[in-house]
This record gives sequence, structure tokens and C-alpha cells, in this order.
Amino acid sequence: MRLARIRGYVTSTVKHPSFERCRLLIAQPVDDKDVPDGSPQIVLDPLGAAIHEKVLLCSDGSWARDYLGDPRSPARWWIMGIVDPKGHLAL
Amino acid sequence: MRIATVIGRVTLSVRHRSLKGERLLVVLPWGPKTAITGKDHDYSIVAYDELGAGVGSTVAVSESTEATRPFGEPTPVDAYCAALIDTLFYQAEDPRPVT
Repeated sequence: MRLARIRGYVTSTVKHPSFERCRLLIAQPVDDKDVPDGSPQIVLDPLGAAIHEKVLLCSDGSWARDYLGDPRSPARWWIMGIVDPKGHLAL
Repeated sequence: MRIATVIGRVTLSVRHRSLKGERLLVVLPWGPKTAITGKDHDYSIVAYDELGAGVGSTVAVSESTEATRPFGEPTPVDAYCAALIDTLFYQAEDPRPVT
């Protein structure tokens, strides 16, 4: 799993049918010091995360396919949780 | 899925038996700074496409094992064009003052 910041969203009409009923947000993976680290990912959002929130991403595609109800969905990254802004990293 | 810009297409003369009637796009996946600078893309990859993306369009590319899911039988494809992006909203920093 990875920490990431939500930095935007995408809309798409021509897409794989499994993405019909879900929100696609742009999440920029960040390291522990909130510095961008790696390419931005388009993630599924079952939780309703707001922009600029820090979230926890998971790359377990099998859960994403169950959530979308389509065993042939190319979905992979999805939002597993929203990090508490007041929470302190124990580093 | 990574955001990628389509820069070209690939036509094969000899192909792996699983790639029959394939449509292959050469795409440049976006890096952390690409949404702002418009360059600094990641290295280009070739993605399998069933949606008809043209050169210059922005697509969402699914990679690794999830790219093989849309095919019924196991297919050695590791990048799949999953969506054509219509609108894309990106804001690099939180404009609200830190309270």
C-alpha cells in the first residue's frame, strides 16, 4: 500500500465498461515527507476522498474487480482509506 | 492506471499468436511533474488498445497483470489502454492557507 495525495480527477466516456459506475481520481504517490514520488495514478474511489487529502492506496486488483463486479476489469489501484490530517507519523 | 499521452502507433508484420487483430499505441506515461511542465514524461511504452485512441489523445493505461484481465484467455500483454480521458483536472498544491 502507498500513501498518496489526491490532486484531481478525470472524466471519461469511452472506457472499459467496468468503470461505468465509479469515480476516477488522480492520486500522486508521496513519501513520508509528503514529497511526490513516482507517476500520478488514476485510482478508483469508493470512499469519496476530497482533493488534496492524503489517502492510502492499495494495488490489490482482485478486490477492485470484486468491487466493480467485473472479473475482466483492468482496475488496479484504489483508495483503501483516508489518512487523518491530525494524525502524526511515528517516524 | 497511469495517465499517458499517445504519440504513435505500432503495426506488426510478424506477431505472437495471441496478438491477432491487435491495435498498439506508443504512449508516454506522465511523471510527477508532467501535469505542470508538459514534459518530463516517463519512458515510452506500447499499450494494447481496443478503444480507438488517436495520436495526441490522453489515455489511462493499466499495467502489469491487470492489463491481461480484459482478455478472456491468458494473454502476454502488460499495458492496456483502459480509458480515453475527456477532461482532466489537476492541482499540484493546496491553495487554501495552512490553518
